[in-house]
Amino acid sequence: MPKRSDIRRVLVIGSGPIVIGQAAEFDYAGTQACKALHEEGLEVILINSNPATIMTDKHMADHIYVEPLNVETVQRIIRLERPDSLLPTLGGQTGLNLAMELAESGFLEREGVKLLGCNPESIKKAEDREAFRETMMSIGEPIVPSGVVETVEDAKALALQIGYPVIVRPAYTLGGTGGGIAETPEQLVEIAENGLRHSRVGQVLIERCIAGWKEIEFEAMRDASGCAITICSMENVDPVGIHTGDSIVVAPAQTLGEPELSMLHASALKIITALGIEGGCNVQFALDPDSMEYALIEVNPRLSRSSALASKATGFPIAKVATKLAVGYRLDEILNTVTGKTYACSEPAVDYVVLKFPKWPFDKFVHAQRKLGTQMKATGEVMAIATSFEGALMKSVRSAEIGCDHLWQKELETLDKDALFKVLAACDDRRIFAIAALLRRGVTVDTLFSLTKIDRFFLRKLKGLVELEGELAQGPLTDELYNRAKTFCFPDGVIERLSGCKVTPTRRASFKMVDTCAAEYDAATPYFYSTWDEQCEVSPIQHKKVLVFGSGPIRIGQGIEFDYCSVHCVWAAKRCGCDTVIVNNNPETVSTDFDTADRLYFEPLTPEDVRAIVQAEGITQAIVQFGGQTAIKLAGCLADMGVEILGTSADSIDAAEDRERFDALLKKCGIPRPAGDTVFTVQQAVEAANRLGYPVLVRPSYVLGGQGMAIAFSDEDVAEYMEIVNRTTQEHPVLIDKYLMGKEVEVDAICDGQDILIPGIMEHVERAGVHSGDSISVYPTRTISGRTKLTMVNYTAAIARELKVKGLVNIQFVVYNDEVYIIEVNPRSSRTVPYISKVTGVPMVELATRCVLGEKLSDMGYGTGLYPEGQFHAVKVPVFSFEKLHDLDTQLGPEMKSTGEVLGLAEDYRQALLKGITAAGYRNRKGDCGVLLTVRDSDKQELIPIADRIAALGYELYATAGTARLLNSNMIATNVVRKIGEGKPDILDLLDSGKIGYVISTDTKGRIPSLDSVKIRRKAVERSIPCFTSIDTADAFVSCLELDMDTAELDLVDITKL
Amino acid sequence: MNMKESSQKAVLLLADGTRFEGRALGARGVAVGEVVFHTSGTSTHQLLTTPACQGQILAFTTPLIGNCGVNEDDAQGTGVFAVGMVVRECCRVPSNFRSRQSLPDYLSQRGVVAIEGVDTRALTRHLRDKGSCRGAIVSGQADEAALLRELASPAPVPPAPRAAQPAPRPRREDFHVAVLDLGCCRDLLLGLTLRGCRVTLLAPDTPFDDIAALGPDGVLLSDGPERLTPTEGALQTARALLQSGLPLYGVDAGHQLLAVAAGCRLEPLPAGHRGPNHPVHATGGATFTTTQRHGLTVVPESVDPARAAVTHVNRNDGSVEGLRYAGCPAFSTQYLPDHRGDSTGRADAIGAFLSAMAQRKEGGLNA
Repeated sequence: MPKRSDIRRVLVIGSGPIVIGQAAEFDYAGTQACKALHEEGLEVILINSNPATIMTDKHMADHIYVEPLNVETVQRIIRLERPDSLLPTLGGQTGLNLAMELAESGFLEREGVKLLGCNPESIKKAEDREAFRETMMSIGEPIVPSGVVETVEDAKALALQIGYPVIVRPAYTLGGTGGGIAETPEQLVEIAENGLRHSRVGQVLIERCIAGWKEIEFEAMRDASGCAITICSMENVDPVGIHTGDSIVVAPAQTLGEPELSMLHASALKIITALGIEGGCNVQFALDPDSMEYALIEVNPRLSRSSALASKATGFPIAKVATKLAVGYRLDEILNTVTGKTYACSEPAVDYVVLKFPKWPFDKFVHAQRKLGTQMKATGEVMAIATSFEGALMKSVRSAEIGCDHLWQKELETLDKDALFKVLAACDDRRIFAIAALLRRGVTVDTLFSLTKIDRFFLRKLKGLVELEGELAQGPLTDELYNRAKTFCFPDGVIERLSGCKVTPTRRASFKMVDTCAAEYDAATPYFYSTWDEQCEVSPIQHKKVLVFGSGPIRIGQGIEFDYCSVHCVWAAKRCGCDTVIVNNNPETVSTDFDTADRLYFEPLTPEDVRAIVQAEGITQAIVQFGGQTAIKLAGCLADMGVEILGTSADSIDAAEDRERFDALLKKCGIPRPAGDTVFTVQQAVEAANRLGYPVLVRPSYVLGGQGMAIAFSDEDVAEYMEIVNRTTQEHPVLIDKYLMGKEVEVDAICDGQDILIPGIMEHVERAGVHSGDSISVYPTRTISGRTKLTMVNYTAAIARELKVKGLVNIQFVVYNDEVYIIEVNPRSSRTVPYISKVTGVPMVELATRCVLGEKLSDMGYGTGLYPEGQFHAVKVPVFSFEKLHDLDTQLGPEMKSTGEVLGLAEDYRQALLKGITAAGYRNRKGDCGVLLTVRDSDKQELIPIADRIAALGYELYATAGTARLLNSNMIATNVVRKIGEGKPDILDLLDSGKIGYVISTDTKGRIPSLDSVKIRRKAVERSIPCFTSIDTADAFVSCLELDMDTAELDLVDITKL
Repeated sequence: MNMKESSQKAVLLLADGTRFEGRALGARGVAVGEVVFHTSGTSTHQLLTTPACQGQILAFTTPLIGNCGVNEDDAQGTGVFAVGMVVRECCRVPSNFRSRQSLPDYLSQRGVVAIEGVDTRALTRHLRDKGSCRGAIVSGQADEAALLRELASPAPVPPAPRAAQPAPRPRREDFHVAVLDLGCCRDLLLGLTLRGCRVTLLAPDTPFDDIAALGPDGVLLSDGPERLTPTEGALQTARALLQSGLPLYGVDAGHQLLAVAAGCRLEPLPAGHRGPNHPVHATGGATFTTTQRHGLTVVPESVDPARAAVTHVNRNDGSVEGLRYAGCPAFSTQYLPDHRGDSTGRADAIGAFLSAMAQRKEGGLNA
C-alpha cells in the first residue's frame, strides 16, 4: 500500500508554547513530520504559536501561521488554505485536542478535510476515560478499578467504594495538571475540585492507587495494513506514583523477565490494534512486582515525550515513520535509513542501556514545592547511553547540569541519617541523591526498598556505585580500579577527588554506534555514544569539519531557542561546505536527530566528555556561541585542548562576563552602565549596596536566565539573596548593581569582526527589573526615539568591535532619564534570535555562522547597520507553567520564570499584542467580572489611570483598604475587600467566589509562600485567574481590552510571505 | 556482590585467532563450540536449555544479562544444551519474583563455562562480518595453541538431541498430534497442548507406517539444532508424510527437513537469524515480527514450483521463511510460532495447523 493519492495539502498543528509537560519534543516531532511530508512532495500548511521552534522556519512548510492555537483560528486557516488533510498526532495534547474539537463539531467533514493517522473514535477510545475503560474491558485488557465523576460529591462516593488511597486524574490534560493522590476525603475534595476545573470536559477519574507497582511503557507503531511493532520498552526506576515525566527512566526495561515482557509486549500490540491507530502510540502499564498481574495506566494515541525518548534511545525515527504511515505507507515499505538494509517493520534491538534523567526547576525556584507526584514538574530532561546502568546514570547526572558530577550532593551529605530519611519520605527531586547518601551511611537495600519501592535491582546498582566510590577513597588507585571506574563512566575529576591521586589518562573513551539493530547489520548511522571499550567504531571525518554544541536540557532560561540556534548553525555550516559534529544530551530536540549534523555524539557536555570526542574525531575547530551558556562554558577547556574557537574568542567571552574586564571595556568605549561592584561575602555585599543606594540588583556572574538574580531593597534582602546564591557551588563572584527602573531595550546583532548588522531593536513592555525572558517584547520599538536608537547602534558597534565579535551578540540596554545604559552583553546567541529572524526575514544564525567561518557581512546581501523595520508588529508574550509548580510566587522579577513564549503578528501594534496575549491564554471577559487590585505603594499613582480605564470597560473593581481608599478618593468606585486575617470573607474567599476575572498584584518582595500577597497570587493560579504582577503588563493588557476586538477579526499572517 | 570476587580472567578464543578477554563466569574450564550472537535480552535461560542451541557458545548483544535470575519452569529442555555463554555483564543478585537462582550460580551448578566483561558489540561485529565460527571459552589454564589447532578442524556433529521433556497433557483434547522430535523446545509443545492437542513425541526417523498406526490428526516436525544433517530415515519419513495427505507443520529444523524432502537445498546465512525481532512478510499479505534461531536457510532457487511454493520471506534479507507443499495440507515456517498465539492474530502458524487438522476431521466426517 503506497502513498495515498487523495492527499495533497496537509495541515500540521504544532503544540504551542513550551510548558511543563509539553516541551521541545513536539518541535522534534513536528519538524520530522514536515520534512517527511515534503519528501513525499506534499504541500504543508503549519500552525504553531511558538516562534522559537524549528518547525516554524520558512523552509519547513509552504505556509506557516504563527497564530493563537484555538479552534476559531484553525478553522479560519482551513477555510483560507483549503488543506485536504489534517495531521493531528504530532502536536502533543494541544494539537490533538484541537483536531478532536474540529472533528467532533463536524467542521472537518463539512470542509472535506481528512484526519490522518487516527480517527476520532479511536482517539476517544484512548482519551476519554470511560470509553477507554470500555474498550479495554472489551478486549480483555486489565485496568485499574476506577470511575469517572463530574462532581466532588460523586468523587467522594466513588472513592469510598474503591477504597483510599485513590488517584485523581483530570480528563484531557497534559502533564497530569490538576491531578494527585488523596489519602483522605478532605484531600480528595481539594484535589478533585482542582482537577475538575482543569479538565477540558469537566471530568476527573478516580482510581485505585497502585503506587509501588512497576511502571512500564511501550512505544508501539502500526500501519493501515495492521502490521504492528513495538519500538522499545521503558522502565521507570521510580514506581507508579511519580509521573513518568518526573521519573528516572531506563530503556530497555531491566527487571522484567521474559514472561512479563512478552505479556506486556503482546498487550501493547493488542491495544494499538484495537484502537486502530495508524502511527505511533504510547502505552503505560503498572505491573505488580510480585505477580503477573498488570493494569493499564494510560494510552497516548499520539507522539509523546516518551516517543521522543524511545526514538533517540533506539535510533528509530518514530515521528518520521508515523508521518509516512499516516499518508498511507506500510511499515514494511519504509526503509530504515539507519541500516539502509532493514525496514521499519523490524523492531529495534538495543545493545546498550539508556537512561533518562529529569531536569527540575527547583534550583531556581527554591520556594516552590519540590514534592514529586502525579503532576509533572520537570521542565526538561537529559538522556545518556552507556554499556551499563551505572554508566548511563553517571553520565546523565553530570549532563543534567545540577552541580553534581556523581551521586553526591553537597547539601544532603551534611545531613544526618534521620534528616536524610525525611528527605526520602518527602519524595522530591533529591531522592536519588538521598538514597546514595543513605547507602553511604550503611542503610541497607532492603530498608530503602521498603521506603521507596524502587526495585532492589536499581538500589543494588546504586550501592555498587557507592561501594566503588569507597574503594576509590580507600585506594590504592590501581589500573584495575581506575578502569573499573571508567567502565562506569566516572569522570577523571571525580576519581581524582575521591582517591586523592592525580590521574594521567593513557587513553580516552572510545565510541560505539547507535544502529537500531545491535550490530546485526552493518549500519552507517552517524550516531555515537562513549564506552570504555577498546574497539572504537569512529573513523574521523576526513573533510573540513567543525564541532558544534547543543544546549543540554531544557530549563527555565535556556530553552528550545538554543536548539534552534545550534541546528541552524549546523545547517549553515553544511551549506558552507563544512562537515559538522554535534554534541548534545537532550532527547527532546531536533539537534539530536541523527540526520541533523554529519555526526551526532549523545554525550554529557563536560570538558572530559568533549575531550574524548575531540580526540576521536581529530577536531581542530569548534563553534560555541549557539549552544547557550552550556556551550559557552566549554570555550575555555576547548582552547586548552588546542581547539580553535571559531567566531568570538574565549577571551572575549570572558571579557564580557568578568566584571572588572567588562567595566574597563565599557570605559574604553565611553559607554555608561549602572554603577556596581563585585563581592564575595555577605558583609561586602551589604557594604556595596549601601554605597550604591537601594534598590540594588544582586546576581551571580556566569549565570543564565537571571538564576539567583533579585532586586534588593534592604540589608535583609541582600543577606537572604546571598545565602541562596551561595547554596550552589560558587566559583565566581557576585555582582551588585544600582537598579535603574527605566525602559528596557534589547538588541541582537551579527558582527563579522568589523561590520555589524542589527536585524531589529526590541522594546520591553515591562520596565527594567522584570527579566527580559519574562517581559513582553515588542518589535519594532514604539517609544524609543531615533536618536536613542542611533546611540544603541553606535554602542553595539563599538562593543562588538572592541570584543572582536564574530557571530552573534546580544546586548541589553536600559533607557533611564533619556540616557542609554548597558546592563548586559552576551557574546552569543540569545532567546530572541528565532523570533527576530522570523519577523525580519534576516536568517540571523545563518549569517552569524558565515561570519564565524570567515565571510564578510558586506557580501551577504543584507547590508550593515540597522536593518530597515518591517511593516509588521511582532509581540512576544511569555508563557508560564505556574499551575504545575506549587508554592511558587508568580511575581515577576529579575529571575526568569517563564517556560515558553508565543508570538502575535499584525500590522497594528495593539492587534499584535492582542494576538500574543490570546495565544498565551488570556481571555477577554468583556466586562462580565470583577478585577482585584492590590499593589505596592510605589505603583499606586500609576494604578489610578489604569483602574479608571478598567472601570470604564464595565468591570467591577475590588481592592484592599489602602488601594480602595486611594481609588475611591480619585472618583473610581472600588469595593473594599478584607485582607487575609481580617475576618471572613476575605480576599481569598473573593477569589474562590468566581467573581474575579483578573488580578493585578504587585509587590516589593515575594517568594516566601507564607506571605499574604503570594497566597493571593497562588490562589489566582489555582483558580486559573490571570494575574498581572507588573503595572506595565496590566497597562498593556488593558489597552488590548480597549481595542474591543476578537482575534477572529484580525488578519492571518503567513510568515513565509513576510 | 563486588566484581573483585569474580575477577579471575577468562578468554574467548575464536578459530581465526581473535581473542576477547574478560572475567570468568560460571564453571571453570574450557568450552568449545560454535560462537553465535543472539539479540534476545531476556531469554537467556530459555536459550541455554533449548536443544536447538546444542553445541553453541551463545553471545548476547544485550549488555545486562540475568537480571531476573533463573526459574526452572522456563527451561526448554532437560539440562543445558548450549556449551558456553558470553556476556558483557551478568547479574549476581537477581531481582524478580519468579527468580529461584542467580544465573552465575546456575551456570556453575550446571558446569557451563561462561565469560563476562567482553565487548560483545565488537564480538557481534566480528561474527557478523566474518560469519559464525568455532571458538572456545578458556576459564583457567589451557594451551591456547593446541586449542587453536582444535578449533581449525571441523566441528564434530553431535548426536541429535531429543526433547526429554514429557509432553504436558492438554486440558481438553481436540486433536492428536504426532511430533517428530528433532530437539523440540518446551514452548512449542506448550503451544500445542494449550490449544487442545494431545502430543505423542516420536523419533524423527520413526517409519511412516508406525506414525500412521497412531492415527494422528496431524504431524508436527519440530525445531532442532542448527547444523542438523537429516538422516536418511528421517528424510524417508518426511517424504512419506508429504505423500500421506496428513496435515503437516514443520518448524525451524522441521521446516528445513520438509524442504529438503521436497527437493530443496540449504545454504548458510551470512550471519544467521538469532533473535526475537525478525520481520516476516507473508506473500501478498501481512508482515509480522517473529523469533528465530537458525544459521541455514532454504535456497529460494531450489524450490521446485511443482512441489512447493514460498509463502513467507524475511522482509530484511528476502530469505525463505515459509513454504507450502503442493498437493497436501502441509506447510512449514523457518521462524518459531508464538506459543501464546499472536496478539494481533497475524502470525498464528499453530492456528493454521489446527485449522488444517480441523478441516481434515470435518472432511473425514463428511466422507
